Amino acid sequence: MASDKPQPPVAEVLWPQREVLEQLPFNVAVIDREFNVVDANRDFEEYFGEWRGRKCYQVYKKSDKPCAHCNALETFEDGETRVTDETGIDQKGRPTHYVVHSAPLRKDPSQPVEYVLEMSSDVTETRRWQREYQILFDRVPCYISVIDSDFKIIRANEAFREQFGDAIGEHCFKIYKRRTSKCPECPAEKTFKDGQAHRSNQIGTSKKGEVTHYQVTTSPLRRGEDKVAHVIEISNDVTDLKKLQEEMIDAERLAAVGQTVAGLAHSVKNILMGLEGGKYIVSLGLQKEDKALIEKGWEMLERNFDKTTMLVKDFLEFAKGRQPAAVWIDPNELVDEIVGLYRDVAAQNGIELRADLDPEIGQSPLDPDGMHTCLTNLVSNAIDACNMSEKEEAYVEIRTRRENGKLIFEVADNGHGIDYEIKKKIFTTFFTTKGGEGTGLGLLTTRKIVQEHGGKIVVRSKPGEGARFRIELPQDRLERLLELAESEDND
Amino acid sequence: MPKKILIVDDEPDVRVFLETLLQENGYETRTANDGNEAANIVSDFMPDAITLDIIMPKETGVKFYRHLKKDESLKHIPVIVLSGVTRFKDLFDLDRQAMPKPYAFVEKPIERDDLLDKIKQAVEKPREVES
Repeated sequence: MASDKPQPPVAEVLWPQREVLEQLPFNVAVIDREFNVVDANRDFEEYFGEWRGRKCYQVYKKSDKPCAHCNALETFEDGETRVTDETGIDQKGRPTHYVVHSAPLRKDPSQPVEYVLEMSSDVTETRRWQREYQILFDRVPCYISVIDSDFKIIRANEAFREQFGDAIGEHCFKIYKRRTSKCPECPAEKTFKDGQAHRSNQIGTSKKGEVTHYQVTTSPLRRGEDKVAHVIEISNDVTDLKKLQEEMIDAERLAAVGQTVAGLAHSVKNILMGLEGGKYIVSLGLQKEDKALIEKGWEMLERNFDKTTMLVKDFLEFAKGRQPAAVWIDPNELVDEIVGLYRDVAAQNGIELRADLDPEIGQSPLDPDGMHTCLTNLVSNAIDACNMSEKEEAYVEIRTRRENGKLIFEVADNGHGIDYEIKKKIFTTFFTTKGGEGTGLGLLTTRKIVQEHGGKIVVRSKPGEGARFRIELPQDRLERLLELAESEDND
Repeated sequence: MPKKILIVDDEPDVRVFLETLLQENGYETRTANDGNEAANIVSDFMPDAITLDIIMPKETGVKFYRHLKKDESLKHIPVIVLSGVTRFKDLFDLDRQAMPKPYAFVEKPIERDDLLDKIKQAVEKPREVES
């Protein structure tokens, strides 16, 4: 330095209250018409490095020639303030994004512009966030769309566009479902109305025409406290899951069929054994002219013919229908019907038959005949179980409940209960503890009907304390029965 | 003295059938309708052979068979397993406690002559029971 006292920057002369520059929350620089940086605040120096005696492009861009497009030049010429997005190099050599306001400095508006004041702020972080957000938005394995209050899609992510095609400006119902009007029970409409998130399961059509099952959550997007301006729809594709679920139900059905056939064979063999025995004893009696022996054999033959008749009847019942004919019904009404049918029989056996019904149960799609058969089987089993017990106050109770999206039927009794060995077998073979009285098809039929409804049946029991059979029917699977019935009608 | 056969089966018709058939062929018989009842009478009756249905409610036939083969005084008695289950042999193969195999298997519905042959063999020359 030639002098101990640094030369006052030109702008300081121009602008006596220069200290204000230090108060501004920006990086501030003043440049002249030759692109010399003539003054700057400390923030600017910290950000871009040494500026004294340098050209603006050397400082901002670390470049040795002027920029192709220069905003300052334009401001020098027309005196207008400009705001532009720029990229540069900071003092550590890192690329940086900043927004710069260029304002003219002159003694008065009639004079030419002497200097340009450049106020810039760093948006590198913001830009990075924006980029990351964009990547997240596009790459997240969900379909995301933003719709306005006219149900038009204003944004859609990459996954969405791949599945449903270009969507911007189109109605959501057209893109998601290839419909020409708004969907019934639209979750987005609910969100526009109440400002709450809503979730539902939907079936759409992809751009290739494939059925797409998705679970959609609609969330409100609003500015401040105002009404919902947009709704964001985030959907999970559950098509594969649905397929897997259906395959599982099919596999369960097939397994039930296999067990049934094996069980049937076992029952038939037992009957054949009885017939064989009867035949042998009759012929032995004839040979010996022993009337008592003939009668004994004949009784065996009759008993086993009756068993065959009963088995065939039950088997036909079991084999009836494959797809439940579901209609919307009130489960409580079904239970009332069963109670009406069995109350007298129960009373004659000294058993109280009662119902414990959820008054809020609502309706569910069920096959009325099928569920009637299930409950009838369970109730008559429960009455038998009470008859086998020596308790003074026997009861059978039928309950209805809703738990976690499932419709529940329970048939509980305080009869003789089921021990472990038997519990393992009751649903799997033509198993009966009732000797010649039962065919062992009742619970098997019950389980089959329950499985065809997409549900399951479980039993809890302690020997001597009674048993509780519980049918669990997921409501969404029940509703699927209606869809299946519809699609079969259309085929 | 006639040879003695214990018939274990939960089906009354099968018991009557086998009882009649075996008595007619010169055997003395007793019947049990489940594994528990069979366990109660086997030591007292000391049969020369047992016909056993292995698929029975409550105490299964397999449990009775295990009881029999664990008892030093009973394990020599040959057992002929009767069942309507085609793959009943698996029930023994799957048994973790290595049990000696039954003397013979007969599938229900039985062939009378086949059963009589097997019982005759069993009472006349029961195999050495391997321990």
